[in-house]
Amino acid sequence: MGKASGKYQGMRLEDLAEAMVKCSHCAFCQAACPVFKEDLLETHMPRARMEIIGVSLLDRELSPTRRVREIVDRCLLCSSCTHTCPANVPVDDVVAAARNRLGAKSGKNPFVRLGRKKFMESRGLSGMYAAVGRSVRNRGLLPDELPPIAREPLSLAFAPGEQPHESPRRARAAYFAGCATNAGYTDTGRDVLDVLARNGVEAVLVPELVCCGMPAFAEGDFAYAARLAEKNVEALSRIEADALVCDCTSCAYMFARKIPALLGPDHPLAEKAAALAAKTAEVTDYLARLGLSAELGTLAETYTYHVPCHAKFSETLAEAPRELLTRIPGLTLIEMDQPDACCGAGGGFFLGHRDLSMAIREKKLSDIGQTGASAVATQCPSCRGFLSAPLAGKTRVVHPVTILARSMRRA
Amino acid sequence: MATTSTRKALGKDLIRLAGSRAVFTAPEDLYAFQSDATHYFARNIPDAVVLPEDTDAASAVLAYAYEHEIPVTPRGAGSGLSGGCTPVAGGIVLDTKRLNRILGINRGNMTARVQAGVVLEDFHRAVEKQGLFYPPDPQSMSVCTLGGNVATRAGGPRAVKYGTTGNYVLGVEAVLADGSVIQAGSDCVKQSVGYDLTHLFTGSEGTLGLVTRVSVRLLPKPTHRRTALVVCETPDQAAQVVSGIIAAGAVPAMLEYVPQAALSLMNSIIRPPVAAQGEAYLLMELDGTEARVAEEAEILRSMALDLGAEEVRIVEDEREAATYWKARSRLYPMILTMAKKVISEDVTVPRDRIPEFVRAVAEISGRLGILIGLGGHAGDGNMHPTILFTDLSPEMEQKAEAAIEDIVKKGLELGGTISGEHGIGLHKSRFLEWELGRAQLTAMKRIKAALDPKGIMNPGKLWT
Ligand SMILES: Cc1cc2nc3c(=O)[nH]c(=O)nc-3n(C[C@H](O)[C@H](O)[C@H](O)COP(=O)(O)OP(=O)(O)OC[C@H]3O[C@@H](n4cnc5c(N)ncnc54)[C@H](O)[C@@H]3O)c2cc1C
Repeated sequence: MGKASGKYQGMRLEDLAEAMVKCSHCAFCQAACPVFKEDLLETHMPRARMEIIGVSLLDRELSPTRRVREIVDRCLLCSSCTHTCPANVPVDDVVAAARNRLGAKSGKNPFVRLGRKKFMESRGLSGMYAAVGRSVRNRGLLPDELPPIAREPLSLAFAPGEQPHESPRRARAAYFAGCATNAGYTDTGRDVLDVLARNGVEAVLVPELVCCGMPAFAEGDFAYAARLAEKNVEALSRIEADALVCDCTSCAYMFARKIPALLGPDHPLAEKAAALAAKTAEVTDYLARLGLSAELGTLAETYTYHVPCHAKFSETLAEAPRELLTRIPGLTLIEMDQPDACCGAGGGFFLGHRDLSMAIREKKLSDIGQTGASAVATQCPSCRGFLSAPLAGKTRVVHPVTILARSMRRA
Repeated sequence: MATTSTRKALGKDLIRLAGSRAVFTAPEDLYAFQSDATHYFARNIPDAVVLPEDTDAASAVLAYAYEHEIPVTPRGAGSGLSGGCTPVAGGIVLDTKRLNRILGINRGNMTARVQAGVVLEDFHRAVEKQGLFYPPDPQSMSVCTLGGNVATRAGGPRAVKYGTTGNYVLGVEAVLADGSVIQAGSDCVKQSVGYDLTHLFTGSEGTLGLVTRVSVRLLPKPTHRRTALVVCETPDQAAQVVSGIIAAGAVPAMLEYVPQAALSLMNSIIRPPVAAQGEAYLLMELDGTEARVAEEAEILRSMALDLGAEEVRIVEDEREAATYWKARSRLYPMILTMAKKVISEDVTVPRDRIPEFVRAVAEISGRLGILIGLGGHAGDGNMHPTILFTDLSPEMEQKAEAAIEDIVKKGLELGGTISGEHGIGLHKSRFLEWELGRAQLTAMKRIKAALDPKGIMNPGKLWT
């Protein structure tokens, strides 16, 4: 694990060099980078990160010192710069490729490695591992911000295969529940299945799925991310479906963009990965496009919507939950200041950069507070966990699909 | 360049003056401060970067630099397009990003005070929340700082109706080369006291001192806005429509000239994309009261159609309109994706001379056989002839040089100016005397020598 093995052709730093020179140095990424906005140091902005990655890992003008590693690691991989860049430079890929070159970090501790492997290969902890996890958690040894550990993961609670649905059948979709949903926030998974069923979508649960690979990709562990991707692409390609629906924006981003790039055009699964990418959608994005057929019941509640960073790969994703939620009778959506500003979580980034993440979160919490909304909607389980902890007892954080499900059940 | 050990010693001294959080001397950090958005011209690594959090720290650092004759380069966001904040002589980069507080918005006086490192868009948002309006809108507004705007006299599309930064600055606090602090101007909209140092610092490009605070005038926010797109058959026709509209007394808030090639790039952001096929487009925003906007839209429609424009489209949907302006603000970096290198000039001509200028640039491009795109803020005469390098050969460089010289000469011949908004910095210093003349240039150098006798402030800029 860790070192490049040449299998994933699209993601070598050398291959990205051509895209890197497209950077016009316009500095627009300053406005997009949550880390820069906190540190206010240009070294920690995407333009400079690329420059430093270039001189230390490509041109070798500078040796890859500890400070270089720090600069490369001090990035949430939120992808906001990539989606802001007028020249379409894939800055997040460059950072991930630099991490790949520098060697994955968490590969060292064998316990962490085993836990991570178990976690990713069964999409969250289950059985004995879950029991251990829960007891560690109950003793306060895990940060509050991590998703809960469910008693029964979705993959055990629901039989694989076709799920029941209302007729007429309007579509057929494979549902990919991410790790944090499958074994943590199972409420989201149940509500996804419920809403799909009520809207005439036949959901298919596919056995043998593993983590989408985003955490490994983000660490630069491309070999492992590619291995997970291969498993998922093979399993998902075995079934016929109109769409691949994810509840988590990062899983969707992984399938829609990263997996094809990671595997590269010459990989035997390249075509299948591309076909899956083309039909990948986050669940609210999918529903907004499909249109709702189920009735909506009244919910006299106020929400504010936090846009997860990884929503940015789709032009319609950030609008989709707003469009759906505002149709619910009685529901008020109050926009916060800068709804698409990062919350600071960045997957597991906050575990290694606590002060920085908490400083970023501070602004988000104040924006949320100012809306006076009674709950927050957001699709990303990492955002949900990171925001839930400080809001506990005051403001609930849920996936927008849960709000839809409750409204539909009330109709 | 200083050696590692002298850099370390310098770092130690600076930490004593500004605190350890504010000082950076590691080479990995210094790499980030080599240039601005014109990185493919000159770049150089400074010896130290200091991010003062108050005027006192900035003053202490400048007093120290003055004593030791260390070059100092002020820096805002580093989004400049003239090489202005490139530390060509090494030394200290004095970065204002942590001087980022909006100190006050005074509704009763329609003014605001900000620290120099406040990002323009953050400021726009803050005043607009109160129903107020700060018009200057350089297209880099999501990142550029008010200090940088003052130092370059920045302006954007709204200049046609509202003017540029210089028209709004009422006062500045500045640290001079020797560390002394002056409060020039005030928060009063009328002032008549001695030399106008406020406006001497406006456009000074960091060569006279560090601006640490700015007072600006505000306007009430217009209640209505409308975006309009005029599709023209030829660039010439577009240029005529521009002069026509201005002569008819309609004053759009923004009036941008967008050639076909630029529009196709912008179409990757405009939603829904523009389907029309014209050789040239005019993108406008009208603002004011509802009645005034409607009236100007009518003037615009009949005028443009009379002059033979193919279509005048008023964009009713605000979200759709926003995509046009977002696309416009990203145009320059998008152009870079089409070429190996891009040089964007900002020669400005009187608006009735735009048609001549457009023809001249086409002629220069044809004669030298190189690609020169031409868009710009047509409403204020500020054009952006943009040279697209198809390769990086010495021959291409030579042709580009020749083209720039011809364009600059033509601009001056038409009564224009060599820079409407980006400033002189490194890249246009060789043309400075053409515009100013020997006597005026000498006068400027004397002013510089009086304020910065040791020449530590941003050496190599404006002139060498
Ligand atoms: C894509 C793009 C579009 C642009 N569009 C426009 C436009 O429409 N209109 C326009 O006018 N410009 C435009 N610019 C140029 C640039 O953004 C402006 O010149 C802006 O004012 C620079 O601000 P900055 O904070 O980035 O300053 P910097 O680039 O950091 O510095 C610019 C100059 O000002 C000096 N300086 C900075 N801060 C201070 C200070 N506090 N005190 C003293 N001197 C200081 C520097 O030494 C340097 O000489 C554009 C740039 C880009 C990349």
